Amino acid sequence: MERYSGKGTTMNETLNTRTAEFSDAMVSTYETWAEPLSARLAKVALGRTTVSAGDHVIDIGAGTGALTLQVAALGARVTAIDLAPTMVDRLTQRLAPYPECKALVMDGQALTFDDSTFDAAFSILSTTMFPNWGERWMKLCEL
Amino acid sequence: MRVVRPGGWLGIVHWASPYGADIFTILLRALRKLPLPAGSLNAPEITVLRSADEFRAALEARECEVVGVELLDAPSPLPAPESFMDALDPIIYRIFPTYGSLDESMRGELRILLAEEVRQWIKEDVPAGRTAKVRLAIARRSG
Repeated sequence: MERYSGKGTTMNETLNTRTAEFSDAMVSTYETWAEPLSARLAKVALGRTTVSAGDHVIDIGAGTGALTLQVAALGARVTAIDLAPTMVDRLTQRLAPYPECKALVMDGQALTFDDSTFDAAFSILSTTMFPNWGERWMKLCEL
Repeated sequence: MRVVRPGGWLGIVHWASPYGADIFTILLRALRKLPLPAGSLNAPEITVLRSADEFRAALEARECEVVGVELLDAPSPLPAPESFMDALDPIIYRIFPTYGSLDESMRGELRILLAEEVRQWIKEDVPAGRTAKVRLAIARRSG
């Protein structure tokens, strides 16, 4: 169920329709001002699990890699997905030291992986980037 | 289709604050002080936030064993008051249609208002613990 109010476009509708249009300037701004918080939350989330070297992890709505880079540093294999090609380009650059990891342009609501591909899935603040975030959140529970 | 193997981890972080990140709360406070035409401010708000119990129930309904749902402080790093608007312009221009539609005069007013709001945020809201919150849900997929 849609849970946002406001006149005209809701925050998540706006984000979703414009996420794929992220410019390089937006990616740079995001990396500077949004990623630090996501990285801190990602560290807490990871610390609540036993994810370790050799595991295969999917990061939904990875952005510039707040969680992905921490998982990669553990020696785990990460598949990071994001709707915005510019985000994926930037994350691909940052994943260069980790050849087992990759970033893909993919809709988190239309994953194209086989059953039981991953040992863990994370979404750090990605749900508000989709329309009907409540439904989106429920979909995450089904990963 | 479940892309996480049985026994694998799910980690989901979602906003538990009405406007998400601190930067958006500050921006909305400033926008509301502008002499905008009545009804023109698009003020997106998460009107119903998922409680810890709702998070837990949603995960359990999808065959997940919930390890924990916790509320975390999520203060954002902020640009200096005087540079707040320009530093974040590439992101907020895209996310808030009202902001993107302002003329130069209004933008000038907003730049001053934002600097005032950031100072107040640092002086009053941060010490009072009114910075953003998130919920972190950790679960394991049941067999």
